[in-house]
Amino acid sequence: MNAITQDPEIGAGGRSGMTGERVKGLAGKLTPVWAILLAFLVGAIPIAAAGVNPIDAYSTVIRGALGGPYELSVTVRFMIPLCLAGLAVAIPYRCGLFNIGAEGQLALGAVAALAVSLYVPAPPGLHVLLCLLAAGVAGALWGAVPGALLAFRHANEVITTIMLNFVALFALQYLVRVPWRSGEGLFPVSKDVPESARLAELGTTGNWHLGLFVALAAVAVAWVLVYRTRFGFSLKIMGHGLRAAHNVGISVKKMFILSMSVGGLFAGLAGSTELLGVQYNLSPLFNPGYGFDAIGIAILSRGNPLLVLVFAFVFGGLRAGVTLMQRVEGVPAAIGQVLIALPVIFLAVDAARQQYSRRRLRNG
Amino acid sequence: MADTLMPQQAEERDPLPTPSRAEATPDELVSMQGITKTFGSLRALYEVDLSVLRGEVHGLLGENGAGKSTLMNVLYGMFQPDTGSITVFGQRTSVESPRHAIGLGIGMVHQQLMLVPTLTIEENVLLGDLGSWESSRRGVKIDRLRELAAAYELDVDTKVLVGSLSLGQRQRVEILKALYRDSKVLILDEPTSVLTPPEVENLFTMLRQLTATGLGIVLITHKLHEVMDIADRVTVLRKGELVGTSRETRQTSKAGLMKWMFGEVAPEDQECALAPPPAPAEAKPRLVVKSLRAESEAGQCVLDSISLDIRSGEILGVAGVSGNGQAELAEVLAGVRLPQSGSIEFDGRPVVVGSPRAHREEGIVYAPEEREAGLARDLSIKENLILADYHEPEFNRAGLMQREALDAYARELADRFRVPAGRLDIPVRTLSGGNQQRVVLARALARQPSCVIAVQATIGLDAATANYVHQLLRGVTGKGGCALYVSTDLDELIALADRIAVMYRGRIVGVQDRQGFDMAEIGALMCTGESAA
Repeated sequence: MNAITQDPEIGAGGRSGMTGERVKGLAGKLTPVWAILLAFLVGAIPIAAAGVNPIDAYSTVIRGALGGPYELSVTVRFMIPLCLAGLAVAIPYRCGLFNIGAEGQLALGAVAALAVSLYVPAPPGLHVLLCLLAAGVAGALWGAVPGALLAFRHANEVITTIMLNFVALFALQYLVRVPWRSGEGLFPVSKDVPESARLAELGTTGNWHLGLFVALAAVAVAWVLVYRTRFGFSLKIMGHGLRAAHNVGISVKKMFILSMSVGGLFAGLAGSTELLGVQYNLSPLFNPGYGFDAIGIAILSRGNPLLVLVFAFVFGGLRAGVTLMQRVEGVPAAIGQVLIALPVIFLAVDAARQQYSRRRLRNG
Repeated sequence: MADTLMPQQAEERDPLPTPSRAEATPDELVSMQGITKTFGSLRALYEVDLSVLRGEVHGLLGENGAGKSTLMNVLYGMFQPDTGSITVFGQRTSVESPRHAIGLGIGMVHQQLMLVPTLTIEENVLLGDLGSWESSRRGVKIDRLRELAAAYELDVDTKVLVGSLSLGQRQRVEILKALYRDSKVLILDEPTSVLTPPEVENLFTMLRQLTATGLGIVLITHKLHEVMDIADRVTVLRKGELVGTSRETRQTSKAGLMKWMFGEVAPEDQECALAPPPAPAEAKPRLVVKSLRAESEAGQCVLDSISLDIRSGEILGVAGVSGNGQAELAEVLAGVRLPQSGSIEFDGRPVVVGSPRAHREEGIVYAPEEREAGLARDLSIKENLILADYHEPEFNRAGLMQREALDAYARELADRFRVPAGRLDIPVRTLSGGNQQRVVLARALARQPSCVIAVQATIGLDAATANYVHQLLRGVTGKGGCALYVSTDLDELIALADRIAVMYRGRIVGVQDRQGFDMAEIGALMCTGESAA
């Protein structure tokens, strides 16, 4: 019975107001779809400044994303980790927590999957399942750490998840550079995932692999969890009124830890599908920032798993499309990051404006 | 529309010191004519007139939702009226914003005080006065502020942090802020709702001091006796319409004003309706609390060896100046706060401390004071109604929540506790304060509880709803249950409680039985922790 356990605004040291506000915080009048369209409009400015006709550039993006079966497969290949990582942010977001640590949870998921694939022999099929399981557990445990730090030490989860990302990413780098390094080449790359542990490719053209079904199943599970279970309803209550949640007997501390672990579990799966379905080995460049795009996806979808899938598809398409745009039009692919960031900024500004006017009304 | 109030038999009371009456021509500071304001389909104000005279306290009376605050927010520039005109010091103007209002000499002290707790009194008052950033002029300004503070008996150093002040003192800082900005008209929105009786007395003294200097004061309230105590004139609003303005409060009667407020059928006189049944002297104790001790997060002792029992059929009132441990006691008894030591037994069985659900299983339910402690305001009415019970096995099958059963349950509760909402899927914050309180109580009382822990359950409610809340509590005790009721309103406790325990600095310093209620004694215990004798 330390001093914190009897804090009535449990885990809410200095954040009682904030946590509740956050969920509705990004619920202004601007809808995510308009935010994205607006982002494309504003994104046209730097493209035009680079001397390229924005319409040409955008049509190339769309062609690169949806132009044919191959292009679609690239979009989906990106969608899978984005979607799983998006869920990793969305679940804690529903109770008012920002999981900025999907990046690290994803990396550790991949590490765990690779470890099991290399050192736990099993028949094909079962081997894949074991790898996925290990990845989920690793992500969940890594996610539980900031959850527990918040619950028991009032450590802000934004800070702890950011910092734990570095721990996870450098752990990955160490493993890739030293114990798991494959002999050949100057560039550090791990040994390959054995065939028995790979997610089967689907079809013969493009990047289709079984991970698609992992992502779809995860969305379905998350949807039921969020909208049909006590766990999901408890998350929602916490997201909109932490004190009320505590007062009606929701164990707020337990839920902080649980929501972060469930989030970490999905991020871990994201790492494993990427490893087992696409890359087959780890390298320092293994993770091109899926965990950060996931934050935008979760915010745009307001924590709704189905919308996470939708926006993961959109952002996956962007990733696929900007590569082609860079090749064809010579516009830097970095513009893709701008297009992902802008809608989130618009939503945040809109919400801040709304809150300001609402506060004015309330005080009246 | 303003019918004249029949001069009725005035109640016997001290005449008011009303310095303004001596002046020959009481001049008009502010005049509002025909103000109409709608919000969407809601007509908040319709053709309302109001004038404020130099040197008067003008009571603005009405039930919750009558439009009092809206009318004053129009005057303060927070809302623009749809029609109607405002004249300030003889000049017709439209008040564009609070900043404009302040410029015109209109100040407002809101119900929720708008101070920055981490700044000092000086900083709070000078905040927004850009000139004060120049250090050369700052000294002069602070001197002026100190003079004001001394004149109005805010006997605290203006360098202390606002966060360390009592609510009464903070309110005084707000008034000071308005005075510092040369307000000629001061609007106070329900100023007494956070104050203890002695603080109310002090406030009223200060208001009389201010009117003597020529200020006009508008006092928004729904408490009749306050108006009778201090106001020179009274304007009554009902459902957004002007019922009338009395020429002099002294010529009106409580009954007459009640009629104005509630229409022809005034709610029954509370004290008659509520005369509680004499509690059986030797009723068996149900909730027994032994030597509770609790500390705040900062490690301060907030509850100190509290032992009490609440008997079957009894409402135990807990009195005290805010912040003397009453809220914490309620929290511990509700399972929301974990005590450092001590035990709670219900009907002889020990209750797991610090677990709201364990308490609820035992039939001990909690209706917290602040709305945000009881409601998730952006969630729907339905979701708020099921907040405490959605986890119960009967609403879940194979891990999935049974939505139809929960819908039906919410609907049943809404009907039973008369939550007037056609739809239950709209955010609970769209309900009025009284109806939000009904939601909190519906949830607490849903399953025939045997013990209700309620804190200030009637605060800010109109008389009819407050009466209903009291009846609900009595309903529980009438069936052999018991209740603990925390309130800073002594009148309410005396009307409602069977016994009153007085808390002072985390201890229970006295308990009185209904037969021996002694206002003076309770007041002394509240303020000093010692009996008057």
